[in-house]
Amino acid sequence: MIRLDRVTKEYFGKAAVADLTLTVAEGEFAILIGPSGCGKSTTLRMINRLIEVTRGTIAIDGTNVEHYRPEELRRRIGYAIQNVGLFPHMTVAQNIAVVPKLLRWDESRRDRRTDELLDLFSLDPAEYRTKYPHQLSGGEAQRVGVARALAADPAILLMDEPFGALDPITRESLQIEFARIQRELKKTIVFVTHDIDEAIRLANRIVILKEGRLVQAGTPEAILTAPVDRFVMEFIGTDRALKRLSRLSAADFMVDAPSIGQEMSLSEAGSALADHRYLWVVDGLRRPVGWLDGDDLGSEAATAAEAMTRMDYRTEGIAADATLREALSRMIQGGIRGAPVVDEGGELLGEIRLSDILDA
Amino acid sequence: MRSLFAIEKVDLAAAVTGAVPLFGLGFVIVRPNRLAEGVAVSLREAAGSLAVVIAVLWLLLIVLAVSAVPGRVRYSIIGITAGTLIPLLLLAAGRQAAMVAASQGTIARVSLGPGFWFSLFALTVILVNSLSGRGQTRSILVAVAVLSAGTVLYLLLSGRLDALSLMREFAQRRSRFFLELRSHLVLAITSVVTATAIGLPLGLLTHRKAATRAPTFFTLNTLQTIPSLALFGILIPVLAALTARFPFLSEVGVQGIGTAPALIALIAYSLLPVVRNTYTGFSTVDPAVVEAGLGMGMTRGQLLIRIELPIACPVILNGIRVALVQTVGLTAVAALIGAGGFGVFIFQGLGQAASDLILLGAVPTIVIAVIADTLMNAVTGVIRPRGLR
Repeated sequence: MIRLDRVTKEYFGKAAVADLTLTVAEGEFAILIGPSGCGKSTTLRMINRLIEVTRGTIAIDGTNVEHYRPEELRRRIGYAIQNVGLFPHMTVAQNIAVVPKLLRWDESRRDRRTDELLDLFSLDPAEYRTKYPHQLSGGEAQRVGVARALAADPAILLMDEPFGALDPITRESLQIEFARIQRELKKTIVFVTHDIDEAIRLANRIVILKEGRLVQAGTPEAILTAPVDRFVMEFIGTDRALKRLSRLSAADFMVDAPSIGQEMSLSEAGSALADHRYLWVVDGLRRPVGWLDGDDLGSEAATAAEAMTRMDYRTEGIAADATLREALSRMIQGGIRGAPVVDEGGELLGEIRLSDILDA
Repeated sequence: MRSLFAIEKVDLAAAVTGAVPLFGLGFVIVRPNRLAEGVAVSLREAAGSLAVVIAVLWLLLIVLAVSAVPGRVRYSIIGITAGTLIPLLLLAAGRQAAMVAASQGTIARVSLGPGFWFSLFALTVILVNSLSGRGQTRSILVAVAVLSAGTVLYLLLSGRLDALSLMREFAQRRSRFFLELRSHLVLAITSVVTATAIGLPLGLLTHRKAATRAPTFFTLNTLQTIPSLALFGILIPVLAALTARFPFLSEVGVQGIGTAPALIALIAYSLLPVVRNTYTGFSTVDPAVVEAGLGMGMTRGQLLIRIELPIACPVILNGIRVALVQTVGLTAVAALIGAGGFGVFIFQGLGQAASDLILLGAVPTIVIAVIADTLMNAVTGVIRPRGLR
């Protein structure tokens, strides 16, 4: 647990951070966000004492950070930054093992830990261990940077815009990957960003700062539903309702989808349709290939497959781990009120209804 | 269709500009005595049948430089030819000198003429050119260069060149030569080592504290612009006054002339390359690397030793190399204020108008500078951390 108590940092009499009180609970993913100059990076760097506080106290698990020698403190806290800062003259393995080495772990333990982390970040140890930083892509370098921050298994991780310098596609894939890793590791994370979408995607708790002061702190849902003032409202943007949807997954809003096999005769289908406005038509592998509604019953076709409106589950099906925002976007694009939710193989899991999203 | 001609510009230019003086100007100069006016003797007259071999090999160089022989083979043959020609030219000169000595007596002198020096220079250019950046043939060419230098050394030691005027000057001053060699090396190495000991911390300071940068570099740049002769001269009265004021200085060997002012001036000149490259070297370290190091819990000292210094070291070593080469040359001037070194022969030779005595000081100075340069490059190559591009 990290507790900041009335923390103030002044430069030449001017406060960069003013009277900030904040608690980050164990296992919490807290994101500090705000416009540039709001004091978010300063706050982060005061936690591991790269910057010293002017007034106030910062305590980790109840112990004031000033109690430790700065180096000792920092070796217990992971630290990852936007420009990565990998040591160019060291291999990936040597880079990851920096803190374990400072902590005097023996070599075999360091090697084991390095391979473990490379695996965790989907980098093949045999290939990447001996590479040098200049041989890595931006995304790979930042993976190694975050792996390095996790090397000594610190309980706390500080991250200063770690994905900020990456291209949008790499950034998103790293965000997803990191969210997965955090679900596994449950570190206490303080993360700085200026990207509200990133904050909403990753955080348990968002802390909005402005000119060194805390404006609002709370879960992403709380902030999106009840912004305290105009500044927060503007900062999260006019599409905050949509942003909220990106916190919710399709799987959570999925309901059972009525379906029939594609070989079913049209008359049988007609009776099945009595209880529903439409039915999904699935193939032998339960993959949706079309839908059938009342209008289709009038046709002279013999089977459901012939009468249905065709669809392609690969492009029109919604993945179970997609966000509601994505589902909504698909439905608007397709002009439909419901969409099938499918697993990786395309099998029908359920459906999502526009009305449910609007109620969310 | 493949062209029959593919011109290697540098080699061709060197081979042609070397050929003109080699065959057109005097290959050796024959004087009735050490100081008398000499007569130029051409390669053909001087070397006889050996001249034919030299001419054929030289023609081969020119042909190879314009022909379309595949690269690897061509560069190997060019290198081997140039490497063979260098000792051959020396041998030809040495034989001519021996003949003159036999016919005209030992008073007569045979000096190396402009034809020899120009062609030696051209061959060196060709050899160095073929050595640089030809990945596959590099090992062959290094072997050629070493063999060529070894043969020259063998010729020097075997006595076949003893009749040359340059070697006669050497023979007369054999013990003095090695004494001056020692003081030359001691002066140059001591000043560069001292300049490094001062320059590394000073360079680090200019990197860390921006306020120190402008005054430091202003001072060192200004020092660098003072002509060496003037700086040596200025130091004489300054040190003389100091020793007069503080007698203990003279007890530890400090005098207005001699080693003390020479060392001070040489150290001063070496500081600029060392400090500038140390500063540049540390500046190449990405600030993110420093932040990451500190953020992970390295102490300032650990960061300096494990991270900053290894990243900066190739640039720093390059500065030391420049300082060393420059100092080897400048040390020759220090002889003027009584510090010893090969400059002694140069200034004696100038005084006596004895050109071979000047060469006795100049040639070893150049050889030491080239060796120092090569050694420092090799050391930098070994120390440079892998992973730095």
